[in-house]
Amino acid sequence: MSASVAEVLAQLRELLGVIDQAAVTALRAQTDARHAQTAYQEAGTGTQNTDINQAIALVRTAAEKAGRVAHLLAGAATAYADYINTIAPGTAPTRQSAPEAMPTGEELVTEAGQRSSRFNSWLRRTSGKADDLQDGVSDATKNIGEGTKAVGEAVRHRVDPHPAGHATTTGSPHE
Amino acid sequence: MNVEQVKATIGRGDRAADEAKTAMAQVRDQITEAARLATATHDSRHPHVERGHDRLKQAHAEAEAVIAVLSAAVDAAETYRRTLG
Repeated sequence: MSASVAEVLAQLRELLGVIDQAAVTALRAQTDARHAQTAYQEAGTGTQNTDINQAIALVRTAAEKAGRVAHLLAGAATAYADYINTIAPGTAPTRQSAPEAMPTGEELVTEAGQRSSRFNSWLRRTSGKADDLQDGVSDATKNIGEGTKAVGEAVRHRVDPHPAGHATTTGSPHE
Repeated sequence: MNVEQVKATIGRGDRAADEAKTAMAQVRDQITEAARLATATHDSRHPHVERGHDRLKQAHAEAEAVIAVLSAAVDAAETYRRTLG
């Protein structure tokens, strides 16, 4: 086997972390764009000049689109969290609000924190069992929880199609 | 507001727009990294994973659009500032 259960779960955790960070940064960009809009509107007060009015319209559009980026990222995080829940039930919280509702910045940050802490604690609880599964997968007498077993099966299913050693090139991009 | 104040206010708008652009470039790079991690790690045929990939792809395109729109906004504002002398 080319990747341990813990490694694959760590990659999933890293993925959600990157998406959550990107969503928060997108909201910061939205705030900056709104500040630009305020300044351009002040500067353009009382003028019919096309250029400054175009600048105002463009930064307004940029702010709206930045909000859409954050919304799409929240949707991506929810989709991957749903996937994690199919292989490790109860690990990643799913979105509470309606899927099409635009999350506020506060909601995004709160959800990112919840996801991270729940995932981390689950990883701590199960990583030992996952290693057991890795080392003694044929030992039917081992007391392994059903959830962990399901993860092991799901991970084997995903890892096996790839050649051995492939996962080591994708495991820890920052190390 | 006198002309100098108007020009200074446009400058403030430009800086805010540039900050937004820098932040959105960071977002775009983070999305690229997320897409790489997602592709490397997961079963791409699973519907949840497909949905995640699709949202990331749309978010990346939208982030690129935001950067282009902000650049155009600063260009337009600077064109106006130059007309003020």
